[in-house]
Amino acid sequence: MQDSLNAFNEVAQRPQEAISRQRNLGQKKIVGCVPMHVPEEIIDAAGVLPITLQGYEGSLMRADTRIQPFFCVVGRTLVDQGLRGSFSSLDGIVIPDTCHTIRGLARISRLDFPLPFHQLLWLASNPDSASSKVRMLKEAQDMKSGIEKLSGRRVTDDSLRRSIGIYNQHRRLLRELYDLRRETPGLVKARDMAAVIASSMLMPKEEHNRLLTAYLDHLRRTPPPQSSAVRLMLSGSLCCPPDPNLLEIVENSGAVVVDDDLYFGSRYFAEDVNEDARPMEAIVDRYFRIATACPTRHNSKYDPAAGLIDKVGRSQAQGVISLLIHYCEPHSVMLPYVGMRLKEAGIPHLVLEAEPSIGAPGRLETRIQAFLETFA
Amino acid sequence: MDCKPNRVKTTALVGDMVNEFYTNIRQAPALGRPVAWCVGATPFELLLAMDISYVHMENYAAMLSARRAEGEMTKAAEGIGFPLDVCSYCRIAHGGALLQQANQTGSLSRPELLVPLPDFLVCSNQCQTQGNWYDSFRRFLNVPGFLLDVPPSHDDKQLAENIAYVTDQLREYVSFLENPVGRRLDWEKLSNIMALIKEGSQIKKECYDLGRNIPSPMSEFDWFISIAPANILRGREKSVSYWKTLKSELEARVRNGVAAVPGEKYRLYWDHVAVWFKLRELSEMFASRQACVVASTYLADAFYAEPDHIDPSDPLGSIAREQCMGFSMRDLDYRINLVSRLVEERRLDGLIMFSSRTCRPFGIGQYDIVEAIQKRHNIPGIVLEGDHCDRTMHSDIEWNNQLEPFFEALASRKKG
Repeated sequence: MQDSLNAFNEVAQRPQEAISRQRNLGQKKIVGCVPMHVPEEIIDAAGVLPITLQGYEGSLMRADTRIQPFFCVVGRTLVDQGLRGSFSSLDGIVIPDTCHTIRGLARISRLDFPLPFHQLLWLASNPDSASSKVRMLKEAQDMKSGIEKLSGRRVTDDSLRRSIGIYNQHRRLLRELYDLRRETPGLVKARDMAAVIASSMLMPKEEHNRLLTAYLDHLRRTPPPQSSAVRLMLSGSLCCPPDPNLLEIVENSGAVVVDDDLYFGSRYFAEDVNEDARPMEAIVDRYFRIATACPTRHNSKYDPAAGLIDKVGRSQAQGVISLLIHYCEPHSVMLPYVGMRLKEAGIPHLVLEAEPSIGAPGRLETRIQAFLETFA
Repeated sequence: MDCKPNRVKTTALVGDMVNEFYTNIRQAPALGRPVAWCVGATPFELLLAMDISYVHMENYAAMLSARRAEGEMTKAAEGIGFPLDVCSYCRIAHGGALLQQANQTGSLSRPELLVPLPDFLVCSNQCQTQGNWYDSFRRFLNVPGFLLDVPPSHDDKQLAENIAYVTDQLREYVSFLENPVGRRLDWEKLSNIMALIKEGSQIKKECYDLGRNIPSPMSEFDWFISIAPANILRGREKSVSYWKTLKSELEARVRNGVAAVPGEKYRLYWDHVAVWFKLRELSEMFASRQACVVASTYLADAFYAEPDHIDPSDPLGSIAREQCMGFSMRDLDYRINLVSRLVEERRLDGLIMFSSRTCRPFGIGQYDIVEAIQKRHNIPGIVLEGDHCDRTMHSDIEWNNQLEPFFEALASRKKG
């Protein structure tokens, strides 16, 4: 188990090194995916390794020449990395149209740091419209053509089915891990869980599946820890991975994280691709199902507060911490409504501006402790 | 020399036109007319054709800001958890709506400016925050809505696909509107409205082209006031008359050499939206420096800027083109080329890139535009940060500190 966990942490803590290692293996081209919702199966089916860009360490050198300070850390860091040439280890990039900041990034990136494969992936926003499914399928097919050109390999239904199988297995294993954590709070530390997810986005899924299987076997044999800590659920953070230090502070302050709705968490592995349907259509169909719970997307039939309250109930969480990335407008605009509904439902809720660069752990610690005292 | 701006007289008509528009909305519930709240540049022409009263939320928020009534609304929004960095249009609109919903408007200093709560919502997500804002409204206000999904276009092939996609959705939008109203859309009426929009657009374009004259007969600050006839009031006889009156005045000014800024020395470009609470002050400040702002993307390439794109016999196609073809949905090359064209046509001396701290869709790219234009035309540009509606986020000192060296640079170039 230690081996698996070490491997997860090793990769998650040093994403650039992980990418270089893959690069040095020299077997596959590598495409960086800006989070969220990139249909990685299509890239994998072309024999190209999709990795999710996620190194938001906060020390920016060149961003200010191209992007104002009032944009989120994700947008600013990606611009900075692009200008500094950090993407030179990649053969391409996919930038999904999630919010105005990432759309802006997509626009300037083609001018300021173009890559051989540079896919701006539009994501449908009107799931109620029949035409949006047709338009989204077209978009996915365009991405498929682009990736075929890059790899020099045709993406066939068979190769897609194979990739879908691997990705579905990966999602099932991650779901098992989350189930275990819900049933046995404290068995997997929040910090370790974040490393599992982050690393899964930085290495081939087959390899991660092997590590995950060993990790799960070990956990099942581990005696369950006795925990009287406050059961919490993490929410938000959208396309930014949660800060591991923050997760540690939370769990060292008398709480245990039992579930989340993070993209660098349960939203990444939500819903499988239907293996019985035509592969491209099935991949697009999964997009529409996962998009429902994403604050950047729209669905007139979905209430994010009801979804969150339902999840809180299922995981028997006692409270919710919303991780708000500064200047993240989709999340900021959604939060007041969700906060109001959580209050009405009597669920304690703390909003933390929590991004890797914010620092000041002392201040965060005080706020978290004050929040946890309300459960005493 | 008198360096006060010489305001175009016709713009004085706008106040009454806008007041009448809002008065009609306030009377709608009593007359049994449905009220739609529109987030984003939605196709109002369909609502007009269906006799539905509509509020364009951005215009409404700008109107509140221009009348110094935005502070109480932004405070209310902050009170329910909206961070200050959220779009100020969105915060103002939420603040007002939630006070109304909770029957707490008694404390407002100008409650008469509010509009009735909506029967339904319409959104065009050209800016993605508008989609998020629409979702939030839908949840708080618990009313049905329609979201028109408008994708960005990176090339002409994609543009054609997107126009087809938006046209498909517009058919669904028509069905959505027909339901609550309980009657069919009158297509002939819609065609007539589109014909009026085309006529207005043609004259507006002729007016705008007069801005190429040196000195310019009209500044962008007066143009920002004139957005109402191109935006919320379009498709009406009154707005066509407005453009006709404006055109006469501008032609007379050109004939007689009357300048919008007496002693015009510098001709500038303005990027992005207006600072709604500071239109007059900014107009006076630039005039005092003998600078006339004579071009902007908003006026050059939005609000049915291109009459040739409008075909009254194909209203949905025309609307889809309007939704997809403007600068806001295009890539950076398109924006750079647009600014470059304006620099050439209008013989501009510099670029003012207004960058609203809470309106981010156009912020990224402004530095790229300055650099590209500097390379192509060798003129300077400056990025000024502030806010479009929230006066607490603006600093005169900051602006003056940046504008001083900018104007010094312009002056030394003129001498050189």
